[in-house]
Amino acid sequence: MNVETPASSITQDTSSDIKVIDCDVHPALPGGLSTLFPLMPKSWVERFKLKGGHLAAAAPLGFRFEHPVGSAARHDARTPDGGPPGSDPEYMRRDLLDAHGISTAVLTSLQAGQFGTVSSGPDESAVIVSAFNDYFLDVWPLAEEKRLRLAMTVTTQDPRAGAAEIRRVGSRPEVCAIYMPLINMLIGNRYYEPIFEEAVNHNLPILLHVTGTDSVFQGAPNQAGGFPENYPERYVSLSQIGEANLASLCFSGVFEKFPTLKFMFIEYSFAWALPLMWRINRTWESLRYDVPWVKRPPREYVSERVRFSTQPLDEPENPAHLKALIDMLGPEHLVFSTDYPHWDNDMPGKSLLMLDKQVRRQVLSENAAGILRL
Amino acid sequence: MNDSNEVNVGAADTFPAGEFRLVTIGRREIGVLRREDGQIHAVRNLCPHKGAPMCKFKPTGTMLPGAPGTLEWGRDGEILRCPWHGFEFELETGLRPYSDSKMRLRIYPARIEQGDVLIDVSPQRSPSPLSKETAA
Repeated sequence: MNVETPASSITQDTSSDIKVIDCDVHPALPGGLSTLFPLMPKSWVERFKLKGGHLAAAAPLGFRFEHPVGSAARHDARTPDGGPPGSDPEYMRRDLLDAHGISTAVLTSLQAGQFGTVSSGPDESAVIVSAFNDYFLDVWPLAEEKRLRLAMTVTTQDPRAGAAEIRRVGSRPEVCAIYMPLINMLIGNRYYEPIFEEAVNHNLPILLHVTGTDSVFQGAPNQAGGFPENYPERYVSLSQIGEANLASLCFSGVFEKFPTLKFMFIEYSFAWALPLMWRINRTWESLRYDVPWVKRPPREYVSERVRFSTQPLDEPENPAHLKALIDMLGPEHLVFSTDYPHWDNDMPGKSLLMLDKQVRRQVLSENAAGILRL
Repeated sequence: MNDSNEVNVGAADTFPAGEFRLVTIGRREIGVLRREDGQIHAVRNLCPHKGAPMCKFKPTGTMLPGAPGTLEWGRDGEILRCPWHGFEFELETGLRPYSDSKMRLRIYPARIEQGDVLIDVSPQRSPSPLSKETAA
């Protein structure tokens, strides 16, 4: 092709005066882990060099789960100099923020999440995740480009180290949430409490998002029933991890132990949440005495303190069915996300057009403004 | 064909063989592909699903429907695959192969006359109903 036109210019919703807060954007390192060496203590750099720290991929997926065209990141979103999609903030500004009218984009580093869970040991993970946070806070132009905000990553292999990281950078104004990449332990487990305590202290929501290691590596969350055989099987059932963690939140008592803590379920989509909440509430009505620390109907906690991202949007043949589902779930539960630069992105100009304007405004920006620390 | 709706987009030899070059006609961005054998294709650079650029990469083939556990690659050069959600369309017809989806990529009749590429931008005779999915 001889003429370069950002694809996104085609889909911009120019007629809309609705602000868009995009709760899921993935920045990437331009090279391997060695990009972060200048941000690490020398001894750790030597360690990672010895172990081959030039590694480009934090968690290779093998043929079984690699995306059918070789990468879940869009080939057409490579940077102008051919770098990995999401690795150039200038290009992200043009290709995503400007082209699609995004007023705030929440950066969540899945590479950091992979190292924070399974691709390094506990001590290594704390060092690497800190370097990732410093890279996006200080090397990327977040101080000047206020549309880009960071969901800082914490290691979950050592929750005390995760808490220390929140104390270290969680007060920075560029930080809007805490990306807590899950290991194979449900969110309601008391193991995570040091992270929750600091999240509360810093008025930051906990953001949950698959890391890409899910169901692939020992130590990562597994999907129910067995080992999927290919990318599509694994992809469509990743929401099971969201389901299991929502149930865990509802019955564990976390909402009572941390009365102001909020949670964002990002990229698990949301259609599943409706029947699951019916079942959770019905079960609580019957069996409340087994979990007496759940003092109110679980739907009340969820309605106040849990948000689900819209992406990946389900697309029933009749869009009115999706509208009805959103009505039933309650649009207050939803926050918009594109998942740029990944293949299954939903861009605002082509998303949720069947919603009434006020509801669309709520989903595209107001709900996110109510949970992120902006 | 209504000749008055044909637009001359330039000399055929300015279109590199085997890859798309974009031209703009009105508000439409159209990818023009000249094959080695001289055949010319004109495709709207807009996926009918979510608006992704359809002409950024060359046409490809696809896996033909087959028995479980077997693979047969075929239709090389006949298929356009969206770089976002992976939807495939036939270069000749704009239709989705092996699907009953009504979603259709806009293909324009194109020809070469006296060395120039002409693209017919007349409205489609039987306009394909936009898929309901596009509204979701």
